[in-house]
Amino acid sequence: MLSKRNFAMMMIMNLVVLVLFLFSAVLKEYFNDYDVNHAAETEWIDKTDQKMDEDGNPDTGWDSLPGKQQVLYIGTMDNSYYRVMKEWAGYRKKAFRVFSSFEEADEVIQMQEEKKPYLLIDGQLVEKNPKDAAEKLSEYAEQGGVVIFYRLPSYQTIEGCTDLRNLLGIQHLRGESVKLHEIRIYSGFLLGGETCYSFEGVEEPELIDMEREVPWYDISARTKSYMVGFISAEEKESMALNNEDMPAIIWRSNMGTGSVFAVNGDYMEGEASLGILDAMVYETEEYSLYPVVNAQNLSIAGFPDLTVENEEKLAETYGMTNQQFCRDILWPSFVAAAQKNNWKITSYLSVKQRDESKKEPSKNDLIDYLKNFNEESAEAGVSLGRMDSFDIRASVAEERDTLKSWDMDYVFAGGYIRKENKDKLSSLIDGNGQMEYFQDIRTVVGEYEKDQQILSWLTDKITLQNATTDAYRHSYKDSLWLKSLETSLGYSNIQVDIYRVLWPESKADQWEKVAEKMAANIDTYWKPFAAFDKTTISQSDSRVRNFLNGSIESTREGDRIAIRTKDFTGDAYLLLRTHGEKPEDMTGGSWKQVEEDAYLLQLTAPEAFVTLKPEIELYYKE
Amino acid sequence: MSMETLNVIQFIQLFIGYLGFTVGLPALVFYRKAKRFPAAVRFLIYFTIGNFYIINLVQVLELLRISYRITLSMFTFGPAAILIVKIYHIPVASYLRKVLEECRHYILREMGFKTFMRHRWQEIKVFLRVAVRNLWRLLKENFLDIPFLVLFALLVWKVCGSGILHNWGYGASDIPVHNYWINGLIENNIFVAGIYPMGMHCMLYYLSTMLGIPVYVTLRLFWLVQYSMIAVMILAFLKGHCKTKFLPYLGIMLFVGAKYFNGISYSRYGATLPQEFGMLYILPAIFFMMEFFQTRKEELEKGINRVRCTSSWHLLGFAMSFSLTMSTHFYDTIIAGVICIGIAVGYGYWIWRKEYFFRILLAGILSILMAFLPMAVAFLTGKELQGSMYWAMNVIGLRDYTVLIFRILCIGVVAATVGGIILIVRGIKSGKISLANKEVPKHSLIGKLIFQLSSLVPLAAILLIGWKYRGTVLWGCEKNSFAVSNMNWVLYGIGAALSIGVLLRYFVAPMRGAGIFAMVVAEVILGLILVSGSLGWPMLMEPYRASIYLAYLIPVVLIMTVDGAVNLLFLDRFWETWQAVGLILTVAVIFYSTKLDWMRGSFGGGSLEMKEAILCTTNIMKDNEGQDNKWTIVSANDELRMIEEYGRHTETIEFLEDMEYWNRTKEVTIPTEKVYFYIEKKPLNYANGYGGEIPVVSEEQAEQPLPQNSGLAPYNGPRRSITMSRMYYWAQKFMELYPNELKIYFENDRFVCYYIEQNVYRLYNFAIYYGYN
Repeated sequence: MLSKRNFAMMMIMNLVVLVLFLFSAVLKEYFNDYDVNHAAETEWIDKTDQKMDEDGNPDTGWDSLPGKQQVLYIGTMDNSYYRVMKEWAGYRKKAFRVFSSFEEADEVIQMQEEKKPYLLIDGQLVEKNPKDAAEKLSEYAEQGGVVIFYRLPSYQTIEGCTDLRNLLGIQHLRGESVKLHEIRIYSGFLLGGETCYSFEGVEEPELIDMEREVPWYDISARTKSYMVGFISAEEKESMALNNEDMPAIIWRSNMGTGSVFAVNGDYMEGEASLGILDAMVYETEEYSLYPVVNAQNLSIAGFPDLTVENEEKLAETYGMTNQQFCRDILWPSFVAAAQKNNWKITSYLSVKQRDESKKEPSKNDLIDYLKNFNEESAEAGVSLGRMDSFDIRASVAEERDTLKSWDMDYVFAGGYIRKENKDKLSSLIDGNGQMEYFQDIRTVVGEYEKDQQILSWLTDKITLQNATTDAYRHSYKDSLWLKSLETSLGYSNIQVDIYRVLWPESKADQWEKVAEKMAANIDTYWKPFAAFDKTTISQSDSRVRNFLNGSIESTREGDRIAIRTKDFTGDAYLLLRTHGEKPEDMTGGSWKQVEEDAYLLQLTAPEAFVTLKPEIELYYKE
Repeated sequence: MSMETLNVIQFIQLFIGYLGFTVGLPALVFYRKAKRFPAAVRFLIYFTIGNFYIINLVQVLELLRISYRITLSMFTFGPAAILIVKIYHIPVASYLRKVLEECRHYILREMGFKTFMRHRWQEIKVFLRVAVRNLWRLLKENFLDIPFLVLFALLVWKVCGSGILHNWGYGASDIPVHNYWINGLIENNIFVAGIYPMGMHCMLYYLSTMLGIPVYVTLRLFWLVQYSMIAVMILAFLKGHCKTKFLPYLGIMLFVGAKYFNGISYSRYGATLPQEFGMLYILPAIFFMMEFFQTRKEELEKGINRVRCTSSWHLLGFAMSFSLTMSTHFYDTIIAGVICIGIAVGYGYWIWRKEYFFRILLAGILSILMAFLPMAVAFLTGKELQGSMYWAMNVIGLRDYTVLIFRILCIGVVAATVGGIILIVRGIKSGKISLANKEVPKHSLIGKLIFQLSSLVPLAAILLIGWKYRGTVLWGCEKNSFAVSNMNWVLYGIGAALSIGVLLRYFVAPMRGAGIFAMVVAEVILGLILVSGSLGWPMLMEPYRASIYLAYLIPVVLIMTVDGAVNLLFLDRFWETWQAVGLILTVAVIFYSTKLDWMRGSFGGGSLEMKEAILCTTNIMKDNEGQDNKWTIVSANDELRMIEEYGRHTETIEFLEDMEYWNRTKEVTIPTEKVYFYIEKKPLNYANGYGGEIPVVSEEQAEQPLPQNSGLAPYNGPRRSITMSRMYYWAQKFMELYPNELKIYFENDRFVCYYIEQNVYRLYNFAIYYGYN
């Protein structure tokens, strides 16, 4: 028989437990300032006026040689290399000069400058007179110049010109074309360590989008290979070949005190060029130091959808409405995926995703999501335009009006624009260079597309941060580009496209298919870049503005590197790449290791000093 | 940490390790059995047992191919533990039962934790008390020796310390070969280059494995351990033989510090070599033999004539020591044999009696069987003979029959061993071999007279031969071994030794007199061996080798004579007085030796390799711990064997030769992650083989034709400069082409070590045109 006293005690205990549990939930709710975008509280950094020199190139104002160094692009402007190489020169604040033929550039090449320009050459332009070009380029390299063949001359041209072979360090030619079994990028070139792209026995053949057939050049002495193709082990054995005989793809041929880089194939197309060029420059220098963004973003486009849409299809596919699906399926998945690697989510909500949708959006849903975002340190942005918007201004205005009518104080600092609306983006900008309807927007994320500039000023007030990767797909080229972007910018912006999931056109678009890939991709391929910060889009925006505005110069005396920065507001992030050295001490900032011989510096002062020491020191002394 | 500090630490490790395993552990086991002997004799007993056991343990485990640290530890400490339990009657079973019982009580809460621990603490206290008591007893027994031992240690460090501190290379050109053979032991491949006495190799392998010190370090540093122990053997021998307590210290001080010895006679001690290592066992063998005579005589006088007696143990000690000389180096066996001839002459009055002779004969056979058995087993199971065996047979004109002779010998050894064991077992079973006491034979007066006279004949004959060739012997002695301003003093000394020997032999202490005779005869024979070439006789041993042994025995003879003289002075009475005289004499000589500049200069250590090369090799091995075969050293040739077990080696000349007459098709690749290049900017004069000055690396030297790749030819004399110059300019050019890849690991004005890390899936082609190829 339970006594009254015991019963009372039990009830009190239950009450205490209940209060304790509820207490935390109540506190969480009470202190959740969901209507404040903390990420957007940072200072709004304006674009710095970029001075131009007499040639129309950026003038950083540095007197030092690296600051004055030019990039000579010798090639046509109608190919995919031109844009990205110009983009690279812009990021590095280097003067970029274009020559459409080798003869045009010849005069500049002959000039005896102390710091020779980097020559980016399309090999096809030297095919008219390869011997003459090879001789001049050899002389240029021997005097310390850096020549980069972003595309090689034809096989026949190389075969017929000994001087060109000598310039490129080609020992002999084995065949005009060879079908590769795999491609390896060796560690120490691009960040992310050694990577192998196999063309045989791959579970998802659709991910293979890298060129597989290349001319077979056997390179030898004076060279160093960075990316190499391999034929199958059986073929290799039957031909009695060694690894060193395998087809070289990216290599360096050393001449005198200079270097000639060669890229055999189209591997420098697109954003891959950014990192590869930086890596090539790093290989020619005693050390390499350049600004990076240091931001890794996870952008969820079209999430949450505040209006019930596409009901029939969603009911058929998922057995629930899009509201339920977003709340119960998608959000927990994002949280789980993000928490695993400390990603910070930026979610671009859409009041509605199609103009045709007639139902009313839910304010309560938005409040719930904002609370959740706040708890997970996520940020909310807005979608600029809807799917196949006929009138983007009207759509954005309607969205703005809806949100305004809900009397929300939340500052939407980031906007997302779908690729079909990109052309119409300018119509949303007012005369001050700000968004007409969402005045707080400081950065716009463009939908993932190949061959587009990653970071730029959209206006003097707004930055453009295009998505760099599709979360659902990580092909071989995506992998190469990711390594390249991380090497060059320390930046990535993963796009998780929820429009595709909420408006599925095939089974491949269904969440259960793409969710697995998304989780696996962001868990796996970003691990080597864990040293870079995970940011929301507003946090990233501040860093991008600094990156685009700022410039640096550095000088080395003995083991000490002196760094001066210019036009950075707040901290500057730099990537230091060394050859067998590591920072021992730093004033004016701090450092952390990205990988072997690569260090991320965070400069907190305009001047900083880094003291290096060799990675290998004698344990036993004389 | 500096290399000097490391060298000292590793030397101390080796010293303690060697003493610990060969003396400390046997002492722990056999103390109870040996405590009746004086400390010096105990030391020799432990030392002989320890060395014999370890060397043979390694040989057996190697033949079974199960020699690893774990098995070596198991067979070192396991038998030791069993013997300790057995010898000290430790009640292990009852103790364990008691502890288990207490554990049970503790678990059942019948006994508290504190009580349980107090019991254990009491047991530890008992153990500590016993240990401290014995240690105290040992100190009390020898406390007067401690100042002299410290003085001896200081003297050794004064003479050899700089060798350890400043000369880091190998001390002899053949050490890389020994390194290779020891590396074979690591691979469980004994006699890797053919059958050869492996005593030193087994011991160094054992120390290297058990102490975790690389083989090349033991070969660099063990020479001082070896040299110190060779000197300590003189001390132990003299302490065991002499009646004065302190004069033996004079003997070892003379051996280690006197400048009157010719450099040839001691310079080889500066290297870890088998011949010198084998010297460790010569004096113990001789001591045990002399002790056998002394003890056997006393036993017979007491009517003891059985197999199991003290003299038999001494004879076993002789057999073990003698077999160790054979297991280490045949020259040591020859010298031990020469001294045995001296003993046969000196102890001629006793040795030919059957109660002595047959036992000695059996001991001799046993020692030969023990030494040869591992070699015989290896030979009969397919191992080839090492080249020097053919050379030895060639000397006696039987080169073509070498294998046949060795096969017969080996079959004989195995058959004799097996047959001997069977015969002994059967003999014991049938009662033909009895352990009981037998009647002591009696000798008539005439018989004794015949023994006396017959013993004098060979003594006189040897002395007469020595006298006949005294001029040549003294000349040889002066040139190679021992030089004083007037060499006639050597003759006077021998005369004095003989006189004192005669007086002792016939009036005071016959056995000690016979001992002096034996050593004098041995020295005379050694003198004749030293100059055998000059006398036109067949040369048993090169003079530079014979001189070492001759010089080694000089302090022994001298101190035995002085000790005899002191003994005679007081007619074997007034013990305290003659000890005082011995002490005064010892202190006075040591004092005056420092005053009158009788001290020897320093020597030892190796200069066959640059210190910088050893520094780099040591660091490289430290940097690449656990990364075996992932790195390569490109250097002259010494590192080849040093790093064989850890990394790879490419010879400089091969490296350069492969890119000579350069064209685009030349390929030189090295398939390891890291490659280190050793270049001597001021090339080494290898083994001081070149009389002139070797040019430093220069363009002029690099312009010369590349030396031929033939043994050491490209590294000797000015050719070394050409080789190094070529390598230097190759490195300069390669560094110009690969400024970020080829880095400097170490550099000073004499030496530079470059290193490069490479992708093993895409190796660098080191074949470049560097302007001279």
